[in-house]
Amino acid sequence: MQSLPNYLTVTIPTDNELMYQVYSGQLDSLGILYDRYQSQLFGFFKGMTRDEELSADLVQNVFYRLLKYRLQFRGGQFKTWMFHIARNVLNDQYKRKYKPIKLSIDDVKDHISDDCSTDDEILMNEDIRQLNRALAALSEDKREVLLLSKYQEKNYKEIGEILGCSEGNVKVKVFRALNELKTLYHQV
Amino acid sequence: MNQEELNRLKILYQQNELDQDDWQALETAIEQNQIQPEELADLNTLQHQFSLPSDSDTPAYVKNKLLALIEKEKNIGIGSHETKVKERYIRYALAAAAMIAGIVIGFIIPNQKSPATNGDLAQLKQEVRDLRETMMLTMLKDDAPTERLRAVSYSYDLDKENKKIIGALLNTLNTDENINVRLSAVEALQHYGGDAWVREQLVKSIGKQDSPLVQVALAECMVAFKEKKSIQELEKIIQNKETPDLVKKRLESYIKQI
Repeated sequence: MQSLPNYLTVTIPTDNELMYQVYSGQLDSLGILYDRYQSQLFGFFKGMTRDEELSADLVQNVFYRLLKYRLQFRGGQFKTWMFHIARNVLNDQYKRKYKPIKLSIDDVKDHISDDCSTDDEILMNEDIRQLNRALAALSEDKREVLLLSKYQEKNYKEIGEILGCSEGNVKVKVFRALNELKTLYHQV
Repeated sequence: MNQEELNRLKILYQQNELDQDDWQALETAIEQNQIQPEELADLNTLQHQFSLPSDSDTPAYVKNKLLALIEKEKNIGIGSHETKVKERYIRYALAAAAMIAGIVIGFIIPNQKSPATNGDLAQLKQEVRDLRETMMLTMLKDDAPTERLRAVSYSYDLDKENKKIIGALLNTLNTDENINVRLSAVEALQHYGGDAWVREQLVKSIGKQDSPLVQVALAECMVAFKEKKSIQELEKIIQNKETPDLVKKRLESYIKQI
């Protein structure tokens, strides 16, 4: 296949290139990183807190910290660093005031089904809704490892870096979480 | 664990017939990378379903707030660091000039009847310099980075031959915890580039820096001095796995210019 002439090729900067631009003072590049990852972070926080308004605030906090601590970026995968910060933001939130209570199956059946009022959730098919109900009934650490495996696209090594454990350990955590999710999925 | 045993565990798992020992063995196999969670059929389906994109966007106000924050940071942050430092230097230089002029006028006017000799003026100037030197050295030890930045800026008005000042600036460059202060020290030490010993100390300092910003600032100095002895130190940074790619590229281009 003939390659395109140079003037027709567009180089899309990688996450790390954008973060180094932010690092060296081109702060607008953070807006591009925001566009790339806001939706994933929002999904992660919603999965963890089940609170849309709070999740939007937490996404904002993550980018505020990326800006504030930009000089601490030491390479590695940007996305891993970002989710590491996201976990810290969430933990700080828990310490301050908000700690989600683990829902029982009955709570989930009542609460989540009544709560499916946003446009997105109405459009969501029944399977996904059932899965979200099961997820809401999972313990926080299991929910977290599953959400990270979703947003880190099963890159267990990177998840291990975020959680501070080995790759093998992450796989076992994912396995246990999926098993519990499977059980809950059939109950809700 | 052999393949036969692994297959047995997978089948028992599918049939929901794992006892406690088998369960433990299965987890060990997963941990040791012999079985992937995705290989267990029903989990694979569940995981796939779970991984389907279902995310909505963050409300627009979040991005608007971020953009406003970026604009604010541009005015106060490291992005405008150089301009800010230059502005500060000009302010301090003006303040220092006003102070010296005030002292000189105050000294001359009362003695107009018997004009000050050149010797008196020279002594006065020396006293002012000593005072500024003491102030600078004291402020360099201050806890507040803004005070240390001011101290570095005072060095511009001091004797370029003064080893005590040069030593203090080098010490700041190598040990100060604040990146902005270290960057200011690099900028100040650039004015001492005519001194071979200072250049040598700046080359040594490259290996002591962990901040890519300071490493780049020092490399820029080396380009200005055409200091070939620095190439080896710069290459070490390039070879370091932790050095950001962008910095590596920048250093490679500087080495070519040296």
